[in-house]
Amino acid sequence: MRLDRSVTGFFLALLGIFALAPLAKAQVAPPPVPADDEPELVEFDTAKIRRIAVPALVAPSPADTPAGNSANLGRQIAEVISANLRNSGLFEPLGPAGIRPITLAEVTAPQYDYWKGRNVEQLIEGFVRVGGDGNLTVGCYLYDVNFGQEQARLGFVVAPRDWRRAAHKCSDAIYSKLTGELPFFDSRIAYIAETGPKGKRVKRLAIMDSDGANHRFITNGQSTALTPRFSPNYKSILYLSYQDGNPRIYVYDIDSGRQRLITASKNPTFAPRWSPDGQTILYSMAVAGNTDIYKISAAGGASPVRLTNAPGIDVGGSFSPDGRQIVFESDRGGSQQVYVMGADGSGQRRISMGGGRYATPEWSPRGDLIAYTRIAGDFRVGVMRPDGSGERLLTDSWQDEAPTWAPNGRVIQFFRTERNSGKTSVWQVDLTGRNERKLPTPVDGSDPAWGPVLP
Amino acid sequence: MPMDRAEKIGLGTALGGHALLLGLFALGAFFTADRITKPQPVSVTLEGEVADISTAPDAVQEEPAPAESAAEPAPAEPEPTPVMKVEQPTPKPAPTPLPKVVERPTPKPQPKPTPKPAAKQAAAQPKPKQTSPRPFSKSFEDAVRGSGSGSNPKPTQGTSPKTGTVARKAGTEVRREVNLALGPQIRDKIERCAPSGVDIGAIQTFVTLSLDSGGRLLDVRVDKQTGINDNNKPQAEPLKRCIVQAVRAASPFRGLDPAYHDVWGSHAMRLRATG
Amino acid sequence: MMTNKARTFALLLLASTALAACGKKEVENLPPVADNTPGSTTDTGPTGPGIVPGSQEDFIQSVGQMGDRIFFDTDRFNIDSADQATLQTQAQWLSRYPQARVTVEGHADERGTRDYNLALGERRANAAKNYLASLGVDAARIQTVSYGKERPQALGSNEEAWAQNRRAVTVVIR
Repeated sequence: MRLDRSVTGFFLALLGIFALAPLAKAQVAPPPVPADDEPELVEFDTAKIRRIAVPALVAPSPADTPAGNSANLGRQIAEVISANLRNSGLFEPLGPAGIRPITLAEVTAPQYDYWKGRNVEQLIEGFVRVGGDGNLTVGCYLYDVNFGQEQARLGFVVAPRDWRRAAHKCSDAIYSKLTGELPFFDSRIAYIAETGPKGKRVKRLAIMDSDGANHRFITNGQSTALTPRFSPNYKSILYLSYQDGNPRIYVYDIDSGRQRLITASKNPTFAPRWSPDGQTILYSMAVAGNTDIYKISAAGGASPVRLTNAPGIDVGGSFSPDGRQIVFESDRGGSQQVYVMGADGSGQRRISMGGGRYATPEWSPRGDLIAYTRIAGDFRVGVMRPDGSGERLLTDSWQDEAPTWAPNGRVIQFFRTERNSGKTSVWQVDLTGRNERKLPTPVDGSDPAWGPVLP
Repeated sequence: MPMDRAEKIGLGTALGGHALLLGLFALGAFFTADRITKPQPVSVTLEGEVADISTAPDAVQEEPAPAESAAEPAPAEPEPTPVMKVEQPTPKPAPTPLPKVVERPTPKPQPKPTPKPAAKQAAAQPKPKQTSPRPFSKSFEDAVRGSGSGSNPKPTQGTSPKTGTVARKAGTEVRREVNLALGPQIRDKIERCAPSGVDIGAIQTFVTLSLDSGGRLLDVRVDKQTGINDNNKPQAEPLKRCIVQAVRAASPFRGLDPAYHDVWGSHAMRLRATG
Repeated sequence: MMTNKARTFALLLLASTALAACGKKEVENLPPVADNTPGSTTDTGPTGPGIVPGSQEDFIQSVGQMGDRIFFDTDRFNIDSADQATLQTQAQWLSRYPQARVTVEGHADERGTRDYNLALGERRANAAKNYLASLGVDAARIQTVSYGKERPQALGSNEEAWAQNRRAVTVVIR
């Protein structure tokens, strides 16, 4: 091999560059000086749970109501509050069982020393009164035991049959105060109740309170019902039904029990969703085998607007809380992935960038995260930021799918399918990945969707 | 096979080039060397015992460093600088569901059995003052400012350091030791109220404690919180409250050397959650 | 170490294999009836008691127990050669009974999310319909419906079961 000039020249040029580099040291940053002006660091753990005492609410003049005697209601309200706080995974409530009852005087003048001795950080006290009109007045107070200080108080007048809502409102106020989060206990869940063998499942539309109480079946199971969604004002439910033999989307009016089709089109329609203001409905429709996403006015009458037009399957769709963007799922790139677009269908771009497939994206009501199902062997529920970064998987099971959000964006609900048996159940998990728990339902359940906090 | 002429030239150039390179690097290192800042040389008084660390009269008081303010540079002399602006209010929290008792004298809870407006949702409903006397102030800021204590925080001053006898420890070392003493006492209380949440470990809360020479808390001030993002924003305020509560609850602090009260009488620290 | 020629040949082989897997091909001639109908009966009339000509029972008897359905790979909806043969048999039966109308049901296995599987089932049903139409069956006689993963045939949670559930089934409308 002959040495030629250009090679020599190249090496000399390299030498020149290397020679100059140290002399260009002005650009080189000096090594970081230990931050002498930064205050000393103290680290602490947030994992520990707060102990909070919940004695039965006092009924100063016990009286009977259609929902039972108010003294019993006082205890039941405390039980609901206690269960709510426990189920959030952030508190360790004591009582009402096993702790001493309180007097009415204590409700506004707690015996702090006694509760300090019980080693609790917070104390909830309250009362239940029956008014002349038969309505209940419920008052609840939150106290900081260590500081001997009131932190919150709340009062409600409710019909006796709505006593649970008073308990949920108290729970929400206490929870919000202590965690900083928005409330979510006073809300309802729509889902599909499942029974029957794997090859012949009976699927019924059903609704319940956020803690599983006040459960009610809406459809009778003669035809398969799927993927329900509460309207933001809780007046109606969007859902998919096969009652005429084909997948069709109906708006079911809860009060009247009547329902109507959202579109008269004979094409199959599925995956119905509400906009945050309840004015618009998103749905997916397959034309000649190709599925795209459409939106239509919830009031009916107007023509649908087609939002996607790609050759792949574009399905689902979830509005951002400000109503300006929609996150949806598409396999236009070859596999299921998460895409974001403007509410008018503009600017469609993919945001899921990890390995595997991504499905069922749902925008958090807080706007900060998008929940999804990640399929990579198993099906796992995860969250990512709206730009696709910061992916975190929250569950780890054979098949967890279809996450939806609690109205405060802190808890995620999904359903889990058991391998082989195909049995389904509704589960919740905290955004930190902790406190994964099964929601108690009368039979199997799937497709859970959470409505907003009731006003 | 023996090298031909061309190969010899090539090898020679390569070797020479390497030597030149190495030389230039050495030269470059020499030129950059003096950019590394060294601690200033100080005068050391040797009195029997030899102090093995520099005893420069460091800034006795550090600014608690709110980065935004036009802070004075860290003074090099132990000039008494009243660091605590006693009357400075703690940074006002963003609108929170704190019960501000000032509003609404009507004691009635909601008269309607039908849905309440959502706006009131997160807040407790403020009610009129209770008849029973309360040991603590109504608003949280009052409680934080320790209105019950009555004494003004002492301005720091350089009490005569005992330089005559034992070599004095550096301010940084004292602060580190003080933090090691205070940390567990505060941590124990914080862990009873610290909220959990996504990215909670990203929030750093900067506080300044004012302590008397007995280790009793005179004042605690939250200087700033950093690292707040969309994920952890809900926890910022409860965390701040929790930290302030915890500091108050941990007082009086043990294990503080009165001899260095001039150093730790005002102690700045930052607190952060793990995991 | 391959020569250039061998390399090119291998690439071409690979490419054509890949291409064969996607899309569908026109078929010029239908194979004769007798070759493709296992357990077939003569087409001169009903052989069983009470089987009405042109009915679903007749259809099954004619195309065979598994002749009413085609199968797909995971997330795929293409008609492969096995599918083509099955559909050709169905097309022949349909040409014998021009009054018969069918629904093609599209299904997916349980290893998919619900909405996507509804869309995928619809794709599969339409792929079968389109192929039947290409064989001369009037498209107006063919409806489609997707059941997504709602109606599994095989009930296990394993590859064999899932392969059986990824299907498009042709059913005669009564």
